[in-house]
Amino acid sequence: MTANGTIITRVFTSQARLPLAGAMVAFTQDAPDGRRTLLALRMTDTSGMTAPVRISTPPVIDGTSPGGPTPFAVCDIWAEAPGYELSSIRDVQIFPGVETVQDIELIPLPQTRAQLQDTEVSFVTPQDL
Amino acid sequence: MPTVVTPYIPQYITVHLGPPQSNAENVTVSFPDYVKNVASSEIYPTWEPAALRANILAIISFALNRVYTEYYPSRGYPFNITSSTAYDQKFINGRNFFENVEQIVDEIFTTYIRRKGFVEPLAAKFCNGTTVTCDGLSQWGSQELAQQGYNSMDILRRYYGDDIELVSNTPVMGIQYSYPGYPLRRGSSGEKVVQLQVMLNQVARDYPAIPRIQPVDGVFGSATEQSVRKFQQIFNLAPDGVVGNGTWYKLVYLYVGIRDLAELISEGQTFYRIQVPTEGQLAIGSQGDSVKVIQYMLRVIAEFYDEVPVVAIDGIYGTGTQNAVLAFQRREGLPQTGAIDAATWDALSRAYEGIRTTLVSDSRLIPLSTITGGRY
Repeated sequence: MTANGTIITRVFTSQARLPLAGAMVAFTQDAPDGRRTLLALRMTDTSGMTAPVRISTPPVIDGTSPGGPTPFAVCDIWAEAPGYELSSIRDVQIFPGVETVQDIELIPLPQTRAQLQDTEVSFVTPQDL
Repeated sequence: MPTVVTPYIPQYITVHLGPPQSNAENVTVSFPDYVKNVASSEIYPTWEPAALRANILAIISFALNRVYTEYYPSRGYPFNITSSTAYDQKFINGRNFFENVEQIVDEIFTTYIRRKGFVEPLAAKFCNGTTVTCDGLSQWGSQELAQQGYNSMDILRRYYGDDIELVSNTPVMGIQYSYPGYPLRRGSSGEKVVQLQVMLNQVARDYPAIPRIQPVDGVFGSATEQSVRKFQQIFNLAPDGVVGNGTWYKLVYLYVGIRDLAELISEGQTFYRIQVPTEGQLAIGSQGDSVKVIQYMLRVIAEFYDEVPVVAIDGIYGTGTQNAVLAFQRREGLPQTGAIDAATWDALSRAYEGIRTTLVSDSRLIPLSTITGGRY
């Protein structure tokens, strides 16, 4: 039995959370055979948001009592916008029936540097439960 | 008689990404974002709402206790809390949140637990309750109690004792527009509604999907309600058109953030004509206009790089400036000397110019330079 969760992203820059419209956000997942699958490619709207992406998850029962299997699915996300450093987040968690919200803060590229040299990477580790 | 210092909610909190003495970086995030991050890192969002609430209240109280007692600053550390579970609570920089956790946190981040008769927020310890047990809340135990029908307060009393109480509506430091204490809705009017309309209109400059309210008249009518609903949709708040604690503070945080950035940028005009000597170096103890320029650049960079702390622009190269330079050097992979040498200056000016170029060439950011003055 499988269930679903969704994920949205909010792309912005600075502590003031200025939204970045037109940023490209890719959602990928590693298949059991090791291949990487592109789940979705989304562009941010004028509020810096991407439309929800639906992702298969384990059933909700897996996370309601101790000792069960991992109760969430994971995916990787990268985001880019012209003039900003690339940002990527690994092992973003998606739980059944819950919308995951991923804030992505992009940093303006330093002058005279090529875009792909700079990447901000975050790794999400599991809860210690 | 000693004065009683009242606890407050810090606008931002600085987290050390490792055990206290480790050479890990510090990041500064807004207090609600910190709580969302910890709650998302500690527990599962599929748990019962009462369990989520109880855990979130414990997380808030523990963090506020660290802030209130100046636990780390009093030991000479330039941060408020660590991300290490051996010392504090789990925090994963840049991680995802969950919609339901986010909504609870936005609603209750100004509420904390204290022991009756005491002022300080409770140092509310917790552990998972299966592989680790402790004298505090059991995370799995809280879920089990919630499944049995306990509410969040019952759960907290079970673990922290009957003599605890909740304190709500705690003032947020550095934010002058405190929540009125009651929800604003259609039909409300007065000074707080004027503040609300001004803030919505300012945020709408950067978020064009939010309709502007004309005129700003202090009357909460259908235009204000529509604007509030759109704002709530964008920021994952229940889109009911009513401005409660969560919606109010979300708006205030954005408004203050945008205003501070705009002020900082306009302040930049002052520094255009000052030349920074490229020979020799600036270091702790240096003073003067060159130091001011460096501080200004660091301050702008701190708005965009969470690991660079905010410095005062006072022309005196003290430990605050040194810490910011160290953080910047660390990020850039430069030797961490805390002094401005040629390589650091080069990296600093490229980072600063990169931000400036983006701000002026990106039309969406132009409203920043045309921010309105006035009372709010």
